[in-house]
Order: sequence, then structure tokens, then C-alpha cells
Amino acid sequence: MKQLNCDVAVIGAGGAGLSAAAAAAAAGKNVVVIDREESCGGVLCQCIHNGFGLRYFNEELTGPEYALRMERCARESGARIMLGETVGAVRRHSDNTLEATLFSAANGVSKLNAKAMVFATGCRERTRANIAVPGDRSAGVYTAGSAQKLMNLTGMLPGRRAVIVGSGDIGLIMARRCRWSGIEVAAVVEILPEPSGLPRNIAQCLRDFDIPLLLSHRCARIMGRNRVEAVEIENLITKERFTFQCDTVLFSVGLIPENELLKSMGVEMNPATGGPCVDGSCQCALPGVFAAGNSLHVHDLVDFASIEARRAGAAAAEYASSGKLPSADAEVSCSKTLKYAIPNKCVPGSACEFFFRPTVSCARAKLTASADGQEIAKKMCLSVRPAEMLTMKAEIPAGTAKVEFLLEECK
Amino acid sequence: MKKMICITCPTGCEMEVLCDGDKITVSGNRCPRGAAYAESEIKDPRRTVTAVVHSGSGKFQSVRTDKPLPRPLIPGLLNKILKENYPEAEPGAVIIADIEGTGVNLIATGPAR
Repeated sequence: MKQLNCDVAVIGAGGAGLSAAAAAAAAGKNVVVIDREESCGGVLCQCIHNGFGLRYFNEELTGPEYALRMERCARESGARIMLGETVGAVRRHSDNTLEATLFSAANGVSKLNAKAMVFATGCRERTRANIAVPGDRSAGVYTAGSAQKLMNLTGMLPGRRAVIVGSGDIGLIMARRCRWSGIEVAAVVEILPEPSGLPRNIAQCLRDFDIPLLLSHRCARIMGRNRVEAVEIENLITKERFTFQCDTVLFSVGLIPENELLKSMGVEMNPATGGPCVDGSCQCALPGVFAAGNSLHVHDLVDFASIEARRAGAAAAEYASSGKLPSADAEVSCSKTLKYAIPNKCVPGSACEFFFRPTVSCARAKLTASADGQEIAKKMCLSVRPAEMLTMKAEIPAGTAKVEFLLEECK
Repeated sequence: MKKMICITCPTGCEMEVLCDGDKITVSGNRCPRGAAYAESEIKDPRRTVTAVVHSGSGKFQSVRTDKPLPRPLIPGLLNKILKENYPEAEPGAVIIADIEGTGVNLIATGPAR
């Protein structure tokens, strides 16, 4: 069996994995990136729309362009990228090194040994089954991302007239993609009283095409003996029901971080994010095991995922050199107005960047950080919405045991 | 007064645009790109178009306009690329130059698949 050794192994060659690899390789480490697909970029390859890269590259790019740029960064830093290889299992040896079992059509089964590993495995889409939509099991029901893959990576159309369930960004982007490909979009149906996607996508993907956005409505039933023929929609306020004729239903109803490998290793998970619990260097509760990108928590922008991953890659490189990182002794918690704060632990006496997902919507809110009851940082946040992540940098004083974040609405 | 969401970046500023003859006053934008977008949206609305083009030999690749294209020209461009085939090109290469004399080019963004 083939054996390969490296300092840092990165699992997943998407926007996060490539960034982590570039950072670890730039620190002089021997880095190997593994991806099961035949090309780099992960989901970026099918995201042919623009809107990527403004924060990371200071330039507006499409997904494939962002992927090519990030791949170049990783390769130029010296990372080796192995494509078409699937990681089946990862285990930890008694000397703390990590061993991944890979398999591929080309090389069969092989082993990759690493001192540190970064898991950047992305996320999956929630499906019709996850939100339990009753009705017929007709053809023509897709997740928005699988329809996007069909259109953008195989050049096929999913149908002729679609209803989109859920107003997440992928659903909104697909509404425009459908219209630009000659597919009618009857409506976008959102169960919540407010849209889940970015305001710019409501403007440029729905309003530009006069596509109705039905808030506080749900998809109650899918009908069609072989192919979808119609969907029944319920107005959650009036309880009124009506149908839309369509041959296609796209579900854009949220994302689930993909962490089967980490779970199988017994890594402590965070129920609020669906990802692992991590410290400020993106290290999981198992030393030498790091996570970044959408498998850690679902990001709004790939730019944020890449920025976070850069930190994970640099920390993995440091761990590979020294075998340990500064002890993250300060516990992080947050108010109920925040769904979560990432990381879960941080190192007292150092600076740390935090990510938050609010649970509330308001025009203005104050975000405050305190260390053992003493305020250490604050900022005003404008147009706070669950659809948009918040960030904050804070200096954590030496000796801090507890860091708490509070988000308060300003009237 | 017109309410408008800036589509220039993911921040999506909610702007109020006041048109008084030729004079356009914008508020709510957090950067100068918002004011520029609002003015263009009133006088000459434009969008960056992204799509895939087929090579005719079973392959296709992703493309975008290198600058925003006037909205009235978008259906024509989309119809044209739906009907015609375009040879495979390297990412960044021009697929259609100077669309309808606008100076906007259609360029390849990804490899042919």
C-alpha cells in the first residue's frame, strides 16, 4: 500500500482548504491537499455568478475565477494537491500523528500520514426530506445546489417552470439563473416573515425579474404522478391555500456542515453550528486537528471562509513544528440574541477574531465583549439580520477565564 | 424619492435616491460606489451577466461580462449565446468582443468541461 508523509494535510480543496494550504505552505511546511473531485474549488466551480473575492482579493470575481486564483495561491506557496482521492477514515496514532486512509480509482487504497490536519470539508444542503414536505415523490424536485450543478457543470436544464422553496442565497441566485436560461420562476416561497438571503440578491435576482417573494408562506404539498405538476402553498397567516403549476421545485432551505470524519474521530461538536468546537486557532478539542470554512460553521461569503482558513493553516503549520499551541483557557459564551460565537475558547493574553450569527433582526445593535465581567471591546452593528454574520476582534487580557458577548438592540 | 438596495457588494446598503431633474442625491450608502450605482441605476441600469456557453462538441464553459452590460441588451446576449457555439477558450479569454458596440466583452471564467 502506498504511504505518503507530510507535515500538514488539508482535506477539501475548496475556498477554505486551498487558503489553509497556502498559509501552511507559506510557513515552510510540507503540505498535501486532498479532494475527491477531479478539479479544485469545491462548490465554487458551479457558482458561476459574480460576487466573490471583494474582501479576500479586493476584486469582484465569479466562483470559478475565485477557485483558480486560490488554487494558484496554494500551488505557488508549494502545497501539493491530490485530486480524485476520497478520505475514507482518519485515525490518530499513539504518537499523536494522524493517518488518513485514501481511496481512488487511480491509486486504489493509500495512506497519508500528517503531523496536523485541517478539515475543510464544506457543507451539504438540506433537502425536501429535512423539512418533511408531503405529497407525491415526483421527478423534478431538486436542491437548489444540485440544480445549479446540473445547469453549470453539465450544461443541462432542470425543467421549464420552477417554484423555489426557501429564500437562501443559493435559491435566489438560482431564480436569476433560471430566468436567464429561459426557465420561468412562478415564485420564491419563504416560511419566515423575512428573506434568508442577502438584500442585494433579493434586488438583483428577484426584483429585476418581478419574481414574487412570498414571505410567511410554506410549501404544503408537491403534486404530480411522474413529473411535478403543481405545488400547494399555504399562507401561514391567513391559512389560505393555493397552487402553482410547475414542473420543477428547487429547495434552498439551509446548509448542514459536513463533519462525518471528525465525528468518527470523537471530536467534540457544537450543536449551535453543526461544526466542531474550536479554539481561536481553529483547533478542535483533539490537538493537531483543525477545522475551517463551511464545515466549521456556515459562512455568508467564501471570503470569510478563506480568511478563517488562513488562520487554521498557519496554526496547523505551527503545531506541526512545535507539537503544541498556546493553551486556550478562556471559555467563550454569548447572549440569546446570538445563535453562536466562534471560537468556543481563546488564548488569554492574545488577540482573537470572533464570528457570530445573530438570532434577531434590528436596524441598530450594540455588540459588547467582556472578559470576566470587564468590557474589553464594543461596536455598533447596522441592519442586523440572522442572514448576515457579525465579526469582532478583541484583545483578551492575560488571566481571563470567561469571555462573554452581548448583542443588544438599540432603539 | 426612490428606495434602492446597492448591489455593488454583499453589504447591500439600503439607499434613498432623490431625483430633481438631472440632479441625483443619494443617502444611506456607506461608500462612494453606492452613489455611482444609484446614478447608473436611474440613468442607465446595468448588470454583470454570467452564463455558460457551449462549444458545439459537447463541452461548455462559464462566462461573464467584464463590465456591467445595459439591462435592455441582456436578453439579446443570452439568446445569442443560447443559439450559437463558441470554441473552447482559456479562462480570461474574450468570447464575444464589444457587445453591441458597448465596449463590454464576454470573457471565459472557467475551464471547458
